[in-house]
Amino acid sequence: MRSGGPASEDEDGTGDSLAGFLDRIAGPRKRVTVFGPAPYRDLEPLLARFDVELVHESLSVPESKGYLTVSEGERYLGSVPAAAFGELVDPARAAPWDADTRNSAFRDLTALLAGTEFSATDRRHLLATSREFEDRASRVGRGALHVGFQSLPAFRAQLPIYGRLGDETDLDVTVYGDGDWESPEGVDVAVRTESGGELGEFWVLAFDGGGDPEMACALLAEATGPNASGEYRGAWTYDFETVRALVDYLDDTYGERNP
Amino acid sequence: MRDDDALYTAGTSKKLLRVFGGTMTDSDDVSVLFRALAHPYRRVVLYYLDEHGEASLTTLVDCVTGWIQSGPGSSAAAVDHEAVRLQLHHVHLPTLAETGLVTYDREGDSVAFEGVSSTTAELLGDALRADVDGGVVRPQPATAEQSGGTDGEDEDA
Repeated sequence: MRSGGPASEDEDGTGDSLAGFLDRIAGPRKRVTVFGPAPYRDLEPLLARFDVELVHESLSVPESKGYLTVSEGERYLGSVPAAAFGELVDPARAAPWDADTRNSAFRDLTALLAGTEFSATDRRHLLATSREFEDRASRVGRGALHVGFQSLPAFRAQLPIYGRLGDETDLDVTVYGDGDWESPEGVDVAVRTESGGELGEFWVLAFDGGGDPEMACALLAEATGPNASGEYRGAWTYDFETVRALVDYLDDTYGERNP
Repeated sequence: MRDDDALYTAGTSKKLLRVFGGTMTDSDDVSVLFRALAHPYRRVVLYYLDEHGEASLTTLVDCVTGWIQSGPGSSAAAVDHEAVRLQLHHVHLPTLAETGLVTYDREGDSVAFEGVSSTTAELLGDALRADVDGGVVRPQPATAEQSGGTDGEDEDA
C-alpha cells in the first residue's frame, strides 16, 4: 500500500525540515465504515485518534462477523474483519523479530491508514506502529533504519531492541537524539545528536526498504503537548520517494557528510 | 449480462407481474425472492437494504466487497472492488429491479428497497442466518454410501 503518490516527487525542497516532511506525508482524509450490528465500543476510541470520517452502517450480523472498510474519495482501499478488532485495540507489542506475535490485522490497518494524520495521547500508541515498522526492517534484514528518540532516557528504554537489530541483522541502525550523548558501548548503532532543535520535538522512524522499494516506510510525529506528556500529531507513509527523501535529509542534516 | 440488461430496460414490477402471469400470489413471491437470492452479491444488497431502506451504489459496493473480503462471506478468493461495482451496476441491481424488490435509479446513483411480503421477509431472514453461519446450517449432501438405497431417479441418472 502506498501513499503520497506522484505529487511528492514534484515537491522536492518542501521537506527541508521534519515539520515539512510531516506535511508532505499527511494526505487526504479517509473514510472508515464499520459494518456491524452496533458500534464497536473498543474500536471507536482507537479510530477517533485518526483524522478519518468514521461511519457506522448497521448490519444484522453477529458482532464477530462485522467488518470495516477504508476508502479515500471514490477509491476503496481495503477491509479488516471484526474478529481482528481486538488485536487492533491492543496490538502485540513484543519485540520486532518475534514475528509470531505480529498480527496481520494491525498490519493491514496500519497499511490502510498510511497518509492519515493521527493524534496520540500516549507514547504507547506510537510504539505499536513503530514496532510494526521495525518488524518490516527486521524481516528484510538489510538497509538503513533511522530512529529518532528525542531524549537519551527514551533511547535507553529501547536499547535492547535496537542493539539486537544492529547486532543480529545487516541493518545499519542510526539513532538520533536531542542533547549530547554518545553511542552506548557494545551496541552496534550509530548515534547522531543535536541540541535544542527539531530532533527533540519529533518521533522519527524511517526504513529505506533495504533495496526493496515496497518495504520502505516512515513514521513522523511531532510532540504537541508539554514535555514528555506523550501527546503527538503525526502520520506514516509507505511511499518510497518520500522515505528516500527523508533519509537523504537526515543524512545530509545530521550525518557525517554535514560539516 | 446482455439478458439482464434487456430485462432491466423493460423491468419494473409491472413487467414482473406480466412475467409471472398476472396476479402475484404468495408462490410467485417466493419464486421472485429465490431468483433474487440466487447470487451472494444480491443477498448482501438485500440484507443492507432491509435495514436501511435505501443506499447509494458506492455504499452497496463497499458493503458487498467488505462482506466477501472480511465479513461473513470471507473466502480465500480475491474480490476486486471495481469488479463488484461493475457487476452490481450492470447485472445484479438490474436483476433486483426486475424482480420488483428494489428500484435502481442509475442517474441518481440510488437504490431503494420496495419491501417484501411476510413470507419473503421470513425467507430473507433465513438466508441471512444461513450466510452468516456458513455451512453449518446446510444439510450435508448424501454420499452413495450414506444413502444406500437410492431412489429411482438417481439410479436412472
